[in-house]
Amino acid sequence: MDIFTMVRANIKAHLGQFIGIVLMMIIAVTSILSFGSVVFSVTSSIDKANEITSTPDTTLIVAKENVTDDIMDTLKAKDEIESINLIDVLGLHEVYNSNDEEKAYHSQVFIFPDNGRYPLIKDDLTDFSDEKLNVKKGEVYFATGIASQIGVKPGDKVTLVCESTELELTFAGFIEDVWGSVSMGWKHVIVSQEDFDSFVTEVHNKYDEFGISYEYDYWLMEINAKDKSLSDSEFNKIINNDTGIYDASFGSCTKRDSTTYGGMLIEVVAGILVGVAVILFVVLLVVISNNISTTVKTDYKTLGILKSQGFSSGKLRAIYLLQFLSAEMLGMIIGFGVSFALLNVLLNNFTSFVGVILKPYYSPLFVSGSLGFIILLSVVVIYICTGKIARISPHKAISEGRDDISFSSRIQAPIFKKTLSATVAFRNITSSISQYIGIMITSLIMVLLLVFVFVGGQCLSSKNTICSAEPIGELGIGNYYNLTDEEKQAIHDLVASYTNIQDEFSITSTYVSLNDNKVRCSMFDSGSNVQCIVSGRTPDYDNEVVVGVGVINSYGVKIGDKITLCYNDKSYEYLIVGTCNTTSDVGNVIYMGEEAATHIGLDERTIYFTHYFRLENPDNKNDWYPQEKTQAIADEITEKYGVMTGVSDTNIMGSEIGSAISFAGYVVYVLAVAFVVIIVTMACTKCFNNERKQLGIYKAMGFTSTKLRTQFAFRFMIVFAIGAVVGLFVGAFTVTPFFNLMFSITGIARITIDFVPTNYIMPLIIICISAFIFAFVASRKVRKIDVNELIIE
Amino acid sequence: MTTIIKASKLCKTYANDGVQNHVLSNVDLEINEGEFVCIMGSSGSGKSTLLYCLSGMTKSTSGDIMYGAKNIAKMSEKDLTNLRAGDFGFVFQQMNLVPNLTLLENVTVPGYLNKNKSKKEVDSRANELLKRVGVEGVKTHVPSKTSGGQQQRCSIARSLINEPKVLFADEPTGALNKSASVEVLDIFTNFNKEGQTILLVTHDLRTAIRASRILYIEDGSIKGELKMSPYKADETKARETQVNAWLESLNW
Repeated sequence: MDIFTMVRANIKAHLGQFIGIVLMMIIAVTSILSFGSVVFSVTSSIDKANEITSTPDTTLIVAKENVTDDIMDTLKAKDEIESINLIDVLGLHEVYNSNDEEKAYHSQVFIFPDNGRYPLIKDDLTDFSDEKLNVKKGEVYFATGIASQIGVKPGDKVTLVCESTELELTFAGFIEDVWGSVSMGWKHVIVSQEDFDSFVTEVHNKYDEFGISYEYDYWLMEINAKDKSLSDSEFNKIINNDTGIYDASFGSCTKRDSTTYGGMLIEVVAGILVGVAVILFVVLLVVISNNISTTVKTDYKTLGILKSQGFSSGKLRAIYLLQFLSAEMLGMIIGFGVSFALLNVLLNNFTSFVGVILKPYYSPLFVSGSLGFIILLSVVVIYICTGKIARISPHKAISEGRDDISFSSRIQAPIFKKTLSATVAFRNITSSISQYIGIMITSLIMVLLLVFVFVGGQCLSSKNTICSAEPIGELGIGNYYNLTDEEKQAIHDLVASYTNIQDEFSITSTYVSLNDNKVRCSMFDSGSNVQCIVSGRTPDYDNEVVVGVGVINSYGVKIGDKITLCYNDKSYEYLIVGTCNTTSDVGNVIYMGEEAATHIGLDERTIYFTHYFRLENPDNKNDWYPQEKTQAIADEITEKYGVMTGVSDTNIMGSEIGSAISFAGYVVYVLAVAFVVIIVTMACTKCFNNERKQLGIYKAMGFTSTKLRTQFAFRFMIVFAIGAVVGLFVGAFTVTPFFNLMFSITGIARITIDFVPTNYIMPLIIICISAFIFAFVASRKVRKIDVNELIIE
Repeated sequence: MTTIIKASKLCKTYANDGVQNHVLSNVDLEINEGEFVCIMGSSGSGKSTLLYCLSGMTKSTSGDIMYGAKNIAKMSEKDLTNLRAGDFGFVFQQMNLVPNLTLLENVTVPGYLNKNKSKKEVDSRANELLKRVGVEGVKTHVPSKTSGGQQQRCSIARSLINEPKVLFADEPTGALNKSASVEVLDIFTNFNKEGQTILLVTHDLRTAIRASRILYIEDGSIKGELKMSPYKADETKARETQVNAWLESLNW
């Protein structure tokens, strides 16, 4: 009972500290639970969507001519296959908002006639609609993934594009599409059978006009396995055996892929956010340990008195343990409640990433594990930090006291007349440096967080970074194969007349088989032109390839190994001579030159080469060439040479992904500044209590309240600045490994990050100014200190 | 002699839990330039409160305190701060030095607040004052590394850094031993001889005899006044007898 009385009294005496820890715990727990639960919620929502939409175990896009009756009979006869379904499909090149052509979605989109199996979602995206999907002529339905990217809502007009054939329809509503995420191109666009047929006919005619023999008649083959425990690889092998249909398919996507790809970007963003949350918790532990350490010092005499009255060291440590744990528990309970709200906000922001309705889901194991770990770690930290209590001698503490405890160090930084406030502030730091180490560590961590946010944002807009991750150029010329050498040269000269060409290359992609799994294969016009090499060298010879990090991880191969690739009925053994970056298919990609492709017949596909020009921005060579100027070049080329042109969407930060990532960035800013506010307020209050007498002396000397508050503000700004500068150095060395680790999830092995000074200066400024302002605000109690407090009557 | 501070009908009342405590009642008082005035009284008589009211450290409840043409009782906090930074110096019983500043810095820092003086001038005067009060040898030490007497001497130097018109001292020897007290009182005496106006509160007879005028305060009112000739060391005994007799006449 005596312990609880002491705990109550301590909380009352250090109420500001108690409230500070409760607030920080609320933020830390809210962050950990909501950020962590994002991934669980996404996985659970995709699983539910798979169930509702009866997602097949695997799907293949196959040319109709390759699906013979014999193959179908063979497939149906296989014991492992439960069912097969064939659906008419046409690949689209683009879907754009008719009211704003710049809002377009380019990734792989498939147009399907309505077959009544896609669930309709309410227009507010909160749940499934009670009505059944019934697509009328002139209507189109698709998932929120596309809708949000092209900025349309039900009732708006959208245009579907296949090559240069266009079909304008009214977007009538959302469907649940497990493959509707932004990170995978396998999206379903549902139109009426009538519109589908007429559009396909138009596309046929257009291809005939261009003289391209395009295998436009495709099925989407949906296959279900009887044994759901089979891995994708095992099941694909079964499908391919005796039929070769897997090898002959244009591409495949499995139910597991939908979960992996659907949640992939969220995993990266949530991973970063969870990292932030964990860091915030670490900061909380630093603050707690610093608080205990300084409280033990300031309560030194009281602790000695309590010891003299029979309190054991264990009992005194228990008081601190209960005092801090009660603050943590309270913060934990409130944080758990607040996390519901934040999780909902996050899921609403991430819905378009995933493309399915996201419902909050708390994994009992994750929640109990996280909270249990927080408590356990806190107990350990508090126990260690209160160890000093055992060493307090009652006699020494009572007889000596520690009046000057807040000024233990004797480093004498000089004081100058012209910068009196700042230099006195600096003296106050150097006189008691240990008191501020916790704050410096906090500042270091906060700056590190902000540096990561700034650099992360820059990665998404930096030309160097993106070009190191993906073979991309501002201007793309389609149908390049059909152009004569003279026309190619003329186009080159036309582009060069606008601006310098930094690089140009031709590329096309398809899927090949590697160990009975589909792997994306990109061919370049020449092996020496292969982009985004991370290690090794370009595949200069016709038996050489480079592979993405996904291939390395999935197949356990390395540079120097040989792999056998199959395309239709041809196979060839290639030597891996390098690794490459690519976000496509999570790095499950093989790059080769056109000469190498001839061995498996892939050279036939060079007719689909898109030729990219990487253009120099004369204002800033590291920046993208302006999109409107690129569009002007593209329009001129189309007009003069009648070829299809495309302008790459380089403004990632202006896209849906950019918005969601910006949102995550803002969350980090807010959390970092909130922590700075709480920490500054707590530290200021503590200093204020410790230095009340000194403040009175300064006032008696003639210092005004404003001068003293400025001194306080300078002091905390300097403390935060010291931590921040160290944080900048730590950031400079860790930012690249950190982003390499994070982006490795998406298939990028090594990212190129430009050094932009503002990425480091801005966090420093934000932290220092925040510390200055909030310390000035928090020190307002200085006004209440009266000189007559120094009077002894 | 010119009057430097004039208090009239000065009252100070503290309210505690609804109970009014009249610490000062209608005090009328004049302090002249160059005087060494000592306020004596028993514990709780209101002597320290009178000192703090006169120095602007605390607000009086009513009455006027004229400092030249300015009424201290009606000054804003900002003006009072300026007064403390320039015209008034203060020595506390408990020294109240800033613990993380050296003795020299404790003296120079308030000097730096004076915009009319350069850093060089402040540093020079601080060194001179510390030399005069006899703590030059420990001027780079922080207060906790010096004796109580050295701290109080430093405190006097600090109070004089801006060449105040009036030096207030509240029981300056209250926390010191006998030899340290004598040293500190000699410093006060010497500065007064050079023209420094001093207003000092004490209940110690040996301190009071240094003054040229002693005021006796009881229950918040001045009950008596004793004027004396300037202090001379060889008259100590005689002055003690004189003051003692006077106090006895006032039933102290």
